[in-house]
Amino acid sequence: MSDKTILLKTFFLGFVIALAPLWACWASTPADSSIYDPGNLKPMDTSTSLKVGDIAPGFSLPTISGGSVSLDQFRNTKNVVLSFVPAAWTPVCSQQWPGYNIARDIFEKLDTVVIGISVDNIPTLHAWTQEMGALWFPVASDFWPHGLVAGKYGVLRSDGVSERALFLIDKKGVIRYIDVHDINKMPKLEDLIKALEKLGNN
Amino acid sequence: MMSMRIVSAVSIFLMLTVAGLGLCDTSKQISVNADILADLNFNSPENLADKKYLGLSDGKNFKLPQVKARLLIIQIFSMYCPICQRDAHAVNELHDLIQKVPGLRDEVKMLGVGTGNTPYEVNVFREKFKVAFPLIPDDNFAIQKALSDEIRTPTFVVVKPTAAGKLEIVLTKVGEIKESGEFLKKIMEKLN
Repeated sequence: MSDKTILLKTFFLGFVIALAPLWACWASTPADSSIYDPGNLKPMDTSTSLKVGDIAPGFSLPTISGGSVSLDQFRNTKNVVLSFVPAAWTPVCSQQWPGYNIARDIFEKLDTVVIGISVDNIPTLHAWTQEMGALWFPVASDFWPHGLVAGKYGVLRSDGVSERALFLIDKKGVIRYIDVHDINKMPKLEDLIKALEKLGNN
Repeated sequence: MMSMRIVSAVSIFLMLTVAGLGLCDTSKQISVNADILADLNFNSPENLADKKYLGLSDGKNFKLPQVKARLLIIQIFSMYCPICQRDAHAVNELHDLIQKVPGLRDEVKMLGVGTGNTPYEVNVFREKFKVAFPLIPDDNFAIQKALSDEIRTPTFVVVKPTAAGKLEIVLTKVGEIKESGEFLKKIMEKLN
């Protein structure tokens, strides 16, 4: 092996080893660095015509686990919390479902299932929810026809994302609680749980 | 001639490796204003055992310099934060390690501040991860006032309460601690 080859090989090896810790730095940066911050948004951009006491509009949407989820499948068996979030990879949204994830016992004790809905497509939702850990509830894509279900519930904003909205639907399919929330803020968990507790186990 | 070239090659190798390590910033730093932090009012823990652990007298509120400890590890977390959830095991382990070292448990205390969290939400986190050290809510993001940048959870701030009712910032860390033993070692260095 010539001196030149030794020099080049050593240089290359040094370069690779030198960059290794740098790569490790990127890998160890907190995961929320991947979140896109759109800044402070108009708190609400819609006004739903649905009200407490109305029959919840039916739907069937594809989920990230490969199947589909419909409101009908929980009729007479579970209360349903529909959690519309505006968009994947944005602040607040990226923490709201992980919050519901660790509150699983509370929801289950109240005979309730959560359905997460976003207007993002399945691959995006798949990648995004991977960052959250394993979610126990179905995550549905309302991507195409774009925002159809968000539109039915009156929470599709003019820029194509949904409001941050919660609809609590009882086992008979009746809407019992609506919280179309400031898009920039996290709804308090206890407000939702209190509404659920009011339902009892009817 | 050949040996000189090998020496040059090895030098380049070492220089690049050191340069690479220098570029590595594994923990994003944050600057904390000790005076503002010392002056913040927090809700006292409701649990009497937690109050006793922190050395707080009865009262609804407290300030951090009142905590009886040589070092206080403040974990800024959120119940909603998936990274905090993932790191909960390591943070609990850190607390266990401190409790197990004779003498250390009275000198190094831990406190979790649930930023943007209500008492209910903090309680969900406590119960889910069986957290044994005090967690308090910070519904109004009060702790943000003491930080130079927007809070990224989890963030750890280690402070030294002083007799003059002030705080000295001894260590900050943004992101997961992952290795509780390593993190404790860094904290121990600050005790000496």
